[in-house]
Amino acid sequence: MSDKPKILILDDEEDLLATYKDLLTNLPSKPEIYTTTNGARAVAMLDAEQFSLLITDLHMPEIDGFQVLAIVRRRFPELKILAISSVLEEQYRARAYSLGVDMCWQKPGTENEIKMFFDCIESLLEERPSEGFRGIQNKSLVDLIQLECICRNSTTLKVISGGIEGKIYILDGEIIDAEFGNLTGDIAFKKLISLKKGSFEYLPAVTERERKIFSSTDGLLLDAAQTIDETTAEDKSEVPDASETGDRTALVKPVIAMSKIDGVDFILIGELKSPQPSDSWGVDDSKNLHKWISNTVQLWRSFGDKFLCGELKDIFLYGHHCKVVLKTKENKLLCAGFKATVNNETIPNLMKDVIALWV
Amino acid sequence: MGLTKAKKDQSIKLIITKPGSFTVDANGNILSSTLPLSVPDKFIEIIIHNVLETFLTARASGLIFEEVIIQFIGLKIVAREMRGGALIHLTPLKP
Amino acid sequence: MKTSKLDDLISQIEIYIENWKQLNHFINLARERRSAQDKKYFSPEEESQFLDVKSLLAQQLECILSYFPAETPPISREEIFNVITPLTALRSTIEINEATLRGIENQWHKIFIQLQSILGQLKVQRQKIKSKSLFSIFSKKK
Repeated sequence: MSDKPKILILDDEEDLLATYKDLLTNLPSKPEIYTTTNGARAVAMLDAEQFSLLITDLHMPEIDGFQVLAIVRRRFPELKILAISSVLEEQYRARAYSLGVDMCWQKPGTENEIKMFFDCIESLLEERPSEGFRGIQNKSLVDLIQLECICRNSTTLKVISGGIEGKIYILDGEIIDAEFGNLTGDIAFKKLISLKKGSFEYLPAVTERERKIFSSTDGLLLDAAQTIDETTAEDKSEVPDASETGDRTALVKPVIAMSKIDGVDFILIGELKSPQPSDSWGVDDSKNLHKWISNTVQLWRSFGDKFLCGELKDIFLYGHHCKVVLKTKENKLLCAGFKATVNNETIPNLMKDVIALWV
Repeated sequence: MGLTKAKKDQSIKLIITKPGSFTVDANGNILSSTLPLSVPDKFIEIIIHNVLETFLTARASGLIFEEVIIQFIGLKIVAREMRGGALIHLTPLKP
Repeated sequence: MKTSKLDDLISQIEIYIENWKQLNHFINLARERRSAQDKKYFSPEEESQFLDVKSLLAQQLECILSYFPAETPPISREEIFNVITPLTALRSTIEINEATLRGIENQWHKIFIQLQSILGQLKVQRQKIKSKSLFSIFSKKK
């Protein structure tokens, strides 16, 4: 895995994004630069992998930069954020700083300003985050548990933080019990989940463990997210344990794996006739998109059935702003969106890579 | 496996045996066509309806497309949007 | 010309222009393939689509011309054929030298502008008929 810092740039001007990308790639720390013109996609990208820095424009005609900032700051407290704007008025600067932005910049114009701007970026990149779980820094326990549950794994997750040890017991993707000090069950789970830093270790699953947690995983994680929000402000006491006892390659959801394919802009997977998608990445209104995909596929399937054209294989839809491929397999649907810059002729090949990851 | 495939192939009936194209306006009226008259009207009617519907519903969902390719095992439909109408190419495929 | 007939003609010319653009798309495609290092050739499907586009242009032209008096067509059939005829097939378009291709392209563009101009004239005509009929409605109300 690359040690290079990752920078995500959000700006509505594609030309400017390309310029930033060219310039920032040459910084001394040689960061990996990712760009997007879409706020929702920026959040999805931040969700999918760990970034060191987000550079975002505050004034974009179709996205409210402040709204993005509010979401990002809440969901990724450790992420460094640099806000830029062509006109930086005091009120905007104050508002941006109040949202937890690390630095505000007016878009640099002169050579000197550009140099200073890059120096600032380099200095932000040098500041390393101190929280998170060792090995998977900046990943919360919620993320780790979510991965195990999605993959329907059986394991025991041992968490060590500030000298206290705890365990979360997962069987076939379901959380069956937890222990933290003298506590067990739901209370122990809540305590554990609110830990922000420490180390973890995967132990073999304990099949004979008595089940004390009966809530659904989704419900538990939702409650946990609330607990984390409540404790974020007060919890500053834990110190990471010195001994990191284990590491493990995180198993990733198919949509996230698909999103890493070069040129992929968004992904949606679902089922025909289902009211909403099973999962999506980089989609603003997944329910609406799923509905449209489902209707379109059914429209053409019934045509194929009526005139004996054989099975519907794919539907390719090309536009100047987006390129989409719909793929069906029995009742399952896959929709892959590709960036406008991707050549139409290469899309069928890219689609093969996407399909390979379709579970 | 082989049997399933054979069964699937048998269910494909090629309505057109040679490629052909036609243009339609936004109301679905055919303006010009290279398809033989033997091609059933219903077949063309449904293609026109589905193509225009696909462009229209996509637009309503915020997706603007200029070209749609629908690929069946036995038929490929390529449609290019033209001011609410379309230029539609039909190519029979050998299953 | 009646408004409905005029609307039909406008719609036909609009679609014709879009189809005319397809021709340019194929010329560009040929140029792109010619300059590509791996010199990719055209598939039978692309050749067939190209042939169909030319056929549809020829057919549709007759439909459009049928709206006008035969002695005063708004656009010359010969000029259009001068663009279509040399482009026999995509594979041969690749072999056409750049100067000839540019000449065809200039001719293509000239016709494109002519078509737009006819479209504009028809739209003005429609506007006049509409305002005339509006005027007659209002005068009847008085």
